[in-house]
Amino acid sequence: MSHLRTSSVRFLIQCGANRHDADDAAQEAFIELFKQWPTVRKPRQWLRTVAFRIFLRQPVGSASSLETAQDIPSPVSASDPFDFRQEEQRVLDMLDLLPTAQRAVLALHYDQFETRDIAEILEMKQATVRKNLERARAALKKLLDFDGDPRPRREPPAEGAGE
Amino acid sequence: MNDKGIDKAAPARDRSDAMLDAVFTAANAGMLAAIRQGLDLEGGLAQIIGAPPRLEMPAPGLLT
Repeated sequence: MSHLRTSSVRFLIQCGANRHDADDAAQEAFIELFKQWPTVRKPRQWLRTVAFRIFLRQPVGSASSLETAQDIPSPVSASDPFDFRQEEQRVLDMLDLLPTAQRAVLALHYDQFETRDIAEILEMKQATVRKNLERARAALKKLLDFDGDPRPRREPPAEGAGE
Repeated sequence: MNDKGIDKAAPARDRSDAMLDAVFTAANAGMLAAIRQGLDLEGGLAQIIGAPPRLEMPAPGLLT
């Protein structure tokens, strides 16, 4: 059960939430999960869905959808009080360069969700999921040095990364 | 795509995709461990199930 919560917090941080917003949103989603437990068929997916909706309404106020949030940069560094290592922080720094939709799709992809599930969680078409994933991966690969050391490097954002 | 003529059948992006996957998989695991250490999981669970948070110290006279 604790894994569900920590992975929800990680998902929200990768989407651009700061530690406190991520923790609060994940906790609120968990409370809702317990209330609705008898009717929830996929708890892991359900938690991501609810936590993400809570996150969207927290940092951007009037933004109530992913489409609205796409053009709003993350206002706060994601990681503050967590003791992330340099490699993890660099990944978060790179994610900061992507729009929210791409960050969310990428985070869910690496959280082992299928395209169909990601589409349901983020309320977008599967084709849009694939397009966002493709763009996110293309942008991130430009930021990584794959010729030698595979660790992420800080570089200016690639053209088109903010689409 | 490969000027050395190696593995022409495979898409040129395969290697970089694999390395990107490796970077993110490792970062994901590290983030999860750091978050687990930084969260008050017991307090959060207590809030969810409605149990009172554990007292840091017993109240005076509680054990008498």
